[in-house]
Amino acid sequence: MRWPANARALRALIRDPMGLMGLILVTLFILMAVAAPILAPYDPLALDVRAKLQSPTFAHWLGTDQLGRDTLSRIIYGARTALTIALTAIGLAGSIGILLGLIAGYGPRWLDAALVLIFDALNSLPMMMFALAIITVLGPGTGTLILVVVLVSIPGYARLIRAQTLSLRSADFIVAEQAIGASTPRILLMHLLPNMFGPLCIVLSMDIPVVIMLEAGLSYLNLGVKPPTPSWGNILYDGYTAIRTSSTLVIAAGAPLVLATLGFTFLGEGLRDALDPRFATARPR
Amino acid sequence: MNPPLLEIDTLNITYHTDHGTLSALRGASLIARAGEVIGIVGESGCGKSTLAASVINLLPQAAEVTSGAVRYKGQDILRLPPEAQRALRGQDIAMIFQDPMTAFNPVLTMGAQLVDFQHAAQIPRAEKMARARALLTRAGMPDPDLTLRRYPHQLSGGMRQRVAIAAALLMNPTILVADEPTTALDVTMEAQIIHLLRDLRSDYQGAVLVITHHLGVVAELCDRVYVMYAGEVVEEALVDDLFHAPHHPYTSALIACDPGHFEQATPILPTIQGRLPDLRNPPKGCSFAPRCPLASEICATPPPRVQISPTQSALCHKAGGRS
Amino acid sequence: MLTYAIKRIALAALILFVVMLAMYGMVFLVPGDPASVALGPRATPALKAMLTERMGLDQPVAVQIWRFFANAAQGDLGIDVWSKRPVLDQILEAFPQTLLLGVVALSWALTLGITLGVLAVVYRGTIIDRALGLVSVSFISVPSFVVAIYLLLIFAVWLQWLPAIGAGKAGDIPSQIKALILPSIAVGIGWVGYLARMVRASMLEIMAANHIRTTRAFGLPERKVVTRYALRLAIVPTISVIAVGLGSILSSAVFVETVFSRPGIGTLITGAVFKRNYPVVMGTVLVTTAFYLLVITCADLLIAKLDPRVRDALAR
Repeated sequence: MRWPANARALRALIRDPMGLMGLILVTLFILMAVAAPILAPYDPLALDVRAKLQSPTFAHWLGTDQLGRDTLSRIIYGARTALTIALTAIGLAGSIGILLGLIAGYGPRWLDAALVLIFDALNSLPMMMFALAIITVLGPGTGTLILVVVLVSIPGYARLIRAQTLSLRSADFIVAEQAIGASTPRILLMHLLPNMFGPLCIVLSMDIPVVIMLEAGLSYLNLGVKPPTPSWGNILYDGYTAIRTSSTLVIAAGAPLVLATLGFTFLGEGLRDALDPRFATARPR
Repeated sequence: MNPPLLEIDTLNITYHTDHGTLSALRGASLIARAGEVIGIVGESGCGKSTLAASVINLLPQAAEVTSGAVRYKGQDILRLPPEAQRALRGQDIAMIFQDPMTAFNPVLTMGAQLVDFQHAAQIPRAEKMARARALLTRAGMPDPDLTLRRYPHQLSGGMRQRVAIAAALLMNPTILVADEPTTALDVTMEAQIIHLLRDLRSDYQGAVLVITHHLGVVAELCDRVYVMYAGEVVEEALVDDLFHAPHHPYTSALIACDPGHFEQATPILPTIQGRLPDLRNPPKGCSFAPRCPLASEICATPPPRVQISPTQSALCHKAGGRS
Repeated sequence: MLTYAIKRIALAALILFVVMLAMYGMVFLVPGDPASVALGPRATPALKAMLTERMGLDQPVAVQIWRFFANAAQGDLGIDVWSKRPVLDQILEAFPQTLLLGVVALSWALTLGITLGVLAVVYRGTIIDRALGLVSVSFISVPSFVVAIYLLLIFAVWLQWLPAIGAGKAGDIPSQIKALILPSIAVGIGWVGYLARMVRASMLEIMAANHIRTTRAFGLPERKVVTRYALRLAIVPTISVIAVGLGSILSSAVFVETVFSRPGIGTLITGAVFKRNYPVVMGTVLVTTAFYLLVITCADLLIAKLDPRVRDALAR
């Protein structure tokens, strides 16, 4: 049963101030994203050009942008955009990456060598350059964005799973399964994968901020999520263009980005410490 | 009898850890004279490694010497200033560590390290190399020149331990401390190292302390033995007396458990029942009492150190009345 | 050592080949004829015809690929369809600017990062150590373009101490230096965190190592223990980090140069992406990848030279 270990890890996480802060920030982020329609005071797309570029007022807690849209609402919905894209991209990248990693680690050597070469090639490209090349060919948009993020993230997952698979494949319990004739998919899915749960969680939580940053960055360059859909990157761009007139927009747009990425990173670090094998052994109370 | 080169006098050391304060050494005393090979035996956690570390004065930061002294040639080295302590290390007092695999720096050649270890000698580098080479030969290395040029990972564990022994002898130390010199080696290498150490005895004028949990090593190498349990020295004897006439129940139990001493083949290996006392709360009476077949009410009080003979003593209420 | 060097260089060349193939081939994977894709929605028939002829798109695929590689080997990365200037020229103009930014960022990040790392080791276990750890993690995770914008806001807009735009006037060194300050802080800040953590972890691990205990047991003075024995080991992972970090400048440069309107690879490529100027984009990607591979290969070779264990393990 894995539950006692997970519960202990959770408690260790909460006791660590960094982990706790991360957990709080991440929870707030997810709440904001999920409850956006309830939390946002205005429709994020509603224009009111007369009220453009206002500083914080009672009516608009974080002011408005150039088109009079309520910044606070746009930011709340921006969280939703960020989370949706992050989950989609990571879901896809993770699945494909895990699969490729399992194949590379468990399959024939030539296949492993070929896959490793591809991963290395992908890693040799500075991430943004690669992203931009794809966007040039496919044109900017949310779909392209997700594709780019997926492609950039796959090697990370694949390598981790590959490394874990390689080290576990000669483990006794795997050899035992092979000896009784268990099929390869069964071994992969039911025996190898569950043992990689811990490191996988850590990589996942460390990857989300990267994806959020990538999405925000590309949207900032107007190469990601297309306006008027609110994305923290878009809002930041609006703020940047208006930087000399209104600082509220810029500050308001940057803050959630910083807090979200910090939150996930703290959570990831906290998880890494909590899942440290030291905590796996029972301590006498 | 020669005056003692090394005298550990009622040493008390505690460790400050996250889980509390541990009494690692409780009133441990030991004497070593020139030409002697002293064995220090005990199971894991008995304090023997702490004792070794105190001789060379490389105790971890968490350790605190609460009382007692370690006297080298009459001088308490624990209370010397740091520079003076450092001057003794490697020159007068040398140590051979337990794990040859990690004892040497991986990015420097053996020769470079052996030369570095002679840093206090005011002789040219070539001469230091020559000394290193000579000692490697003495330590039984088949090709000393090649060894000097090699990196640690290119040598086997047994070879590395030989180099470690040679290194310890470089500056002709008065006291040589071998902390579990064979524990990390397999049986054949262990035999070789014991053979080497026995061979080196003839050239060596100082005192040697051999720390081990392996009774076989003690039997082969040592003149006198100290048996430790839970931070205390429970018995002290000449090696023959220890094996044939032990006076402390723990010693007897240890010997009984040693497969080397079995008279007949047996399907069940003997063990000592019970577990070590919690050193965060050292017992007031005899530490071994909970596990001792001879224990009675008097054992709840601190046991006396009974001097059985000039060369043998035991920390036990029941000692002396047995043969 | 030599075999290892050859293997590494061959591997790097192979990876570059794979990347080039992928870059060139991407145009074909997309539905629609390559010329339209490369030129975007504003392609006129005349432009398309010109591109088709120049890129040899009417010839068999294998021939095209061969021509591309042959040209690239000679340094001809094609002509920018918009400005009619050779792509390579544009890249060679822009690259040094980015490199300057990167080197300056690296320099101060190394200094600060290593210092913080060593401080954390000296005060390990204390509140200073924990605080530094928190700060390091924060630095690593904050996006560089957000930092850039906030710096711009505070120092260029509010306080007006430093310029918001450009790289300074040519020939006027002080203005160039002033223009470098904010961008290099934005680029370097992630590194500071990374380096501090890495130096700390590395030094702690080494100082606790058994072989350091051995050197102390032989009475070596502490200074020698640290410099000759510990530091030598700590350098090796630092080199890896620096090499990988150079790759990340290229990514950060895209944003930071845009925010501060500095000339450089970042500005070049973002401009090209907007105009669907594929030759420029492809050329930039190739050059930066080649540069990055060069750096990584050099780093790996340097590590092998410094650490004999790596040498032996890989020579097999």
